[in-house]
Amino acid sequence: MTRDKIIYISISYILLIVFAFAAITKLLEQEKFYTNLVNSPILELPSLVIHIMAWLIPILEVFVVIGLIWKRFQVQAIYLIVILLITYIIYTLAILLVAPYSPCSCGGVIALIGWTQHLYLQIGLLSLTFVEMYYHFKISKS
Amino acid sequence: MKIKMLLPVLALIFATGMSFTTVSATDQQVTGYINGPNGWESVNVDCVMGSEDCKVRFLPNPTEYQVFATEDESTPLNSASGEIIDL
Repeated sequence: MTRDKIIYISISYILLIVFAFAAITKLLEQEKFYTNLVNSPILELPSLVIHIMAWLIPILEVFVVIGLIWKRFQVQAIYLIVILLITYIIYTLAILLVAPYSPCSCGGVIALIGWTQHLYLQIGLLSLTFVEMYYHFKISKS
Repeated sequence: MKIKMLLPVLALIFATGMSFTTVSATDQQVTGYINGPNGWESVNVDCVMGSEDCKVRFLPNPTEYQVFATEDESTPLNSASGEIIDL
């Protein structure tokens, strides 16, 4: 196994664990996740849209996990990770910079770390995803 | 081939275990807000679901305060038991 492949597989497993953790936690705490979205100071959306979002986000994260495991869908999974992480980063930045107050941080990993630390985590994961993307295309070409 | 399947399965088991641990560790952590004598302040309570009002009081003071999800009175939190939470 080459060095490139080891890096690629290692990052794949890190992303797999993070997204599986995020998806399962959101599904286990569905009610809490919905409440957090409803009470968000920057998501002024109708209740139905929030309900759909509360299901759609963990389902997309499950798709990421399936895509990372299933070799055929790995590229799609990587693109989906980039889209999700950029969305999360924009949301977290809005909470930190625009929102009149920081809402309850009581769901999943955010309960253990603050919003600022969460932002650093997301930026770190996005950087890892770009490294993953680079090695994916490098390995595919060789 | 077996190792190729085994590693993702182990990673998934690991993530599932972590999720359950985190969920139970943070089960009681819901931050609500009360309009107390000194204005709005946050309280950590366990009252998300239910049909009763979620209320707290600061013993020995008997005054009860309704808990809200945000710092305004438009989003009162509910409780399953309706018991007043002593802080």
